[in-house]
Amino acid sequence: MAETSAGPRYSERNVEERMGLLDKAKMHAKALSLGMLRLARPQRITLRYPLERPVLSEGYRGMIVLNNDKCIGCSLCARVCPAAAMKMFNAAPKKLRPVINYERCIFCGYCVDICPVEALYHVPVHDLVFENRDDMVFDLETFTKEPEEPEHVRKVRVVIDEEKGLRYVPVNSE
Amino acid sequence: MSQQSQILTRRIDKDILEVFIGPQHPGSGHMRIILRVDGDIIVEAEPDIGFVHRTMEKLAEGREWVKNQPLFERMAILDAANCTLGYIMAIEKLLGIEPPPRAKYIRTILAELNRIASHLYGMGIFAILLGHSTMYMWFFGDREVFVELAERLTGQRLTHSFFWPGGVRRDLPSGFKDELEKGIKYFEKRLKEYEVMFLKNPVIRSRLEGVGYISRQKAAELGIVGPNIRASGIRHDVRIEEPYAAYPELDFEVPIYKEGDALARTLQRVDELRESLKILKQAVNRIPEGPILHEKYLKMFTKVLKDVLETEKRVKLAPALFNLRPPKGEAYARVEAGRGEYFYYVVSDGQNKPYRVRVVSPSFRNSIVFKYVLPGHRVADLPAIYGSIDYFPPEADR
Repeated sequence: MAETSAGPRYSERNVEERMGLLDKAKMHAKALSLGMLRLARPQRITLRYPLERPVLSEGYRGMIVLNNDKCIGCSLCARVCPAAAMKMFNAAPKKLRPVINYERCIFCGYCVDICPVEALYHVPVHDLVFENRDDMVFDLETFTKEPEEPEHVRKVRVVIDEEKGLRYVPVNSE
Repeated sequence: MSQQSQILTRRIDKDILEVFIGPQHPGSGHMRIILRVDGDIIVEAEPDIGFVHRTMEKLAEGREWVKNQPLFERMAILDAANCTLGYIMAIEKLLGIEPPPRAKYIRTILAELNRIASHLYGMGIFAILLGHSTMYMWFFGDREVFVELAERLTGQRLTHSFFWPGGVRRDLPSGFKDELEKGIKYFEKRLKEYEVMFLKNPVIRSRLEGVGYISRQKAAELGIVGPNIRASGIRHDVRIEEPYAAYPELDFEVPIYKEGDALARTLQRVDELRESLKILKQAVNRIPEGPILHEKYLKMFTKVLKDVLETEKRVKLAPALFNLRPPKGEAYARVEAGRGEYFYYVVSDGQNKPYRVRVVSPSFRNSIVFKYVLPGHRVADLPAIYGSIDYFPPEADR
């Protein structure tokens, strides 16, 4: 490498002296004025979540959907699942298919990554509501359908900003 | 006398009151400290750990090697990359492989993002324990920037599960460098505001100065780790002592403070945040091109797996990685996480599951501090000391 790098090293530092009365008064004033500044020009990064939803980043490990046509029934996904959320069952004689239990799923994405034919994929949805726990166990029909997000919410894009940290830019759904 | 009754009937001196702090969740997991107080002076303190014990070491013996990654990251969910990296590195030692340089840099980037997020979390809890709710909001809010960056890189906010033995799961997404640099610029500005609002705030100073003093000798005796020992003047950082990932190639300082009080520990952490930003800046600029998984496994990739790697930059889990059978033997690995040194010791008997995984986590080592530091302080100082130690019970209990 061209640039001279000093490499990792230790550096000894000292805590400053205790503050005198004058310094204390100055720092009090400074802290208060910064507080007032932020009161007047707040730096909010709160997302008003149920009303606004972020567009999840590309490659977000959200809920998992099965492409039934691609699946070869090899059961690797069920074997790799660290939380035992995925199970194989006989969809037809000699035709194994996985089903998922979202009560157990930890969204590690191992099943998606191990599938040798790319039959499983993530969708950028992660916050569905279920009315009872039985609904969280998906059967082949629900597992092969992409879950839909509620439509009444406002979608926002999360942008990392130099001034505000995070900015939420509304997107108009087409 | 049965053992139970021995525990229940303990003699307490006259005028000494026994106070149970917890079991509660002070923002970092369930913990309890049993205090004996004389007036409001603590005369004896006992950290009572174990409320979030999940038998992780035993559970690890019943799972395939890679399946333990999502398990171990539940020790310190806010520092997930650092606490699983050690495990993956120990497996790599068993297998005798080294990840390619690009993978090492990506690991470093994620580890530092996690260190920042973890420090900010700890400081946020610290601030609210001191009653400074403004800083609590600021620390947690700014943490969101780094959590968001980690999400873009790994696909998950906290439970990244990001490493494969011999590499990482994903390449840097497009535009990640710009986003990271924007985040760093923002955070550098914020660090100046932290100084005014928190570090040099006379109220905070008077709560921290001289409180919870750990001498250099005591720190060494108790074997505490991480920012706490570095604030007591001991030079110990695994990133320097036993370099791993891309750290030896980067230029950064590890701050050492001699004072050993709560203020020194706080300043040490904030200085570390600055150094982490330095590391991140260098790492994204110097990152070399190349594969992100060891060639031994890349060779075994089928056509589908190769296509996904090329188009989506996602490393699929080759069955060879899942059915990993490291040769008989033992290995250890050490990693410097946000709270200190993680130590992993793994034994393989040649099967597809580990024979034994021993984890020594930093919070476990730090928890003993309460017994020796608290006596002599007022009860009102307890939150300041607890917060400054940055103790994280789930990590200690495992």
